[in-house]
Amino acid sequence: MKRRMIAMTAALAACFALTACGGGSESSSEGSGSGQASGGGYTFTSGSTEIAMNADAAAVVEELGEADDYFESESCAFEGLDKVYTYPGFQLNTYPVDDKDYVLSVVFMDDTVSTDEGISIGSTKDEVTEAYGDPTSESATELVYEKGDSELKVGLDGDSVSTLEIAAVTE
Amino acid sequence: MKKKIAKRAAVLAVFLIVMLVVLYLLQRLLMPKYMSDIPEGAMVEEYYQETTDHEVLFVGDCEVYENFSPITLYEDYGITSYIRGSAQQLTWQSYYLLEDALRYETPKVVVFNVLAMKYNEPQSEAYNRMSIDGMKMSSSKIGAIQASMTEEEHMLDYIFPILRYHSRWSDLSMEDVKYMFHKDKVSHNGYYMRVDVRPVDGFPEPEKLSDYTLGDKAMEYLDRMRLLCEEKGIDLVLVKSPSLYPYWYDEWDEQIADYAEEYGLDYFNYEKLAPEIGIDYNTDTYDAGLHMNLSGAEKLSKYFGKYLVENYDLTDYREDPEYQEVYAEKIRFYEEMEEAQYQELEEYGEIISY
Repeated sequence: MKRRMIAMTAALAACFALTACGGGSESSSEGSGSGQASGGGYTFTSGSTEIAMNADAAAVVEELGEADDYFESESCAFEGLDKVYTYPGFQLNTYPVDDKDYVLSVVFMDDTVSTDEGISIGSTKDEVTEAYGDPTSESATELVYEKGDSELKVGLDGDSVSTLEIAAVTE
Repeated sequence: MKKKIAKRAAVLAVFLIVMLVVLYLLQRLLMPKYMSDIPEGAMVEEYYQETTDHEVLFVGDCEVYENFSPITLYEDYGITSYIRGSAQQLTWQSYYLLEDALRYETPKVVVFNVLAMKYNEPQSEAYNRMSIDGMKMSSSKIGAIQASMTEEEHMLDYIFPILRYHSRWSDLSMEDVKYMFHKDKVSHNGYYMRVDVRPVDGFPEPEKLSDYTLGDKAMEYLDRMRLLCEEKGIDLVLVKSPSLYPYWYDEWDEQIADYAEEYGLDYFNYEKLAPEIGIDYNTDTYDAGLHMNLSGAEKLSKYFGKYLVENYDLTDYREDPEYQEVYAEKIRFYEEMEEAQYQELEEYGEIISY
């Protein structure tokens, strides 16, 4: 009887252990960003400021200086604000986790800025594949490259780059 | 010998029952409650508390649950309606929430807000959870999970949420205990109320897109929604609410207008009709144009209600004693929340509890 009780207690304990440790991923309803700067992902450099996805946005914004325009909106699913900073040639988007903001994406707005690999709006598709190789996925209008916790989305209008965005992969 | 086996079986059965009860209680404790933080997450399951049917059912994202007031529709026109909406509710989630609702009732009109058509892929687990966790277990919920999961998510984590939320134990608060079995009501037939005002003050320049074609998955589920409504004899109405951001591109608008024309549906872009509705973006939004505040939602609802009663055979339930009683309570809750929010505004200069 005693042995049976011990076995059952052990089974119950194992069950608790499963619920405490199983499953793998972090389990909060809030936030999905790492809060750490991207490890080896795509970056964008403006002046001397290198912007990595999922990096601490406050530090990046401080280094970039005052934005031409700033817009914030309440985040639907997270506590805090989604923010858009407009700088010459690009927009910097951030997302909140707890009390901090992180870099969500850099969107190229015109051809005055280029990626660290020299691609800008107006570049050709061949120049893109020469700089980045074969894309992770491809459609008639978009090439997508994945690297670390970031992705580079290259929009195509025929053979020419029409849109460019470097974005964090937050999940 | 038989006695011994029976005894062992009984002990085992009791043990299994105890284990299942413990796991169930742990799951109830560990799942997010969405009460003081992000109340939008509690809205999907609130639908199951309804005791009366609805002749109009809204489905969609924040552009429905923050912009249309079912209480105003009842007070002004006697229309009974409910909003099955959640944050960034994707088109396939709207489809499955509609399918789920049709297990309980058959409305005369379904209204779908089209902003979510811009998304063709699952976006985020946090949003998925708010749309799906509150659904009762059914084939609709399974469908919603299958259509919504991001690459990192697993079906089992949705069916047994304890597998997903087990590590919340370190974040537990008294709120998790308080709302373990019963939650406070946060919405008014699915409407999320805000009375504060933050005028529109410009938006970032719209991003240029490489392709303005609405995605095939989004179109597939719009089609399925239309066919489901046809099958049940329900009229489907498409709307784009008067929220100004995120951008609703003209190219998208044209595709929805063409779709509506092809299938004989009504489609209204209320961004374009805002002046006619009387929406003033200096006073009728609480977050600079993303969503309506109470004033804006009531204006839109009065305008939309007029269209509904003029075009559909809807019942004026203000004359029905059963509905009178149910809606008297709903109106009381609505007015109390409105007053409480104004009091907070006066006291703190902002809304802090809603």
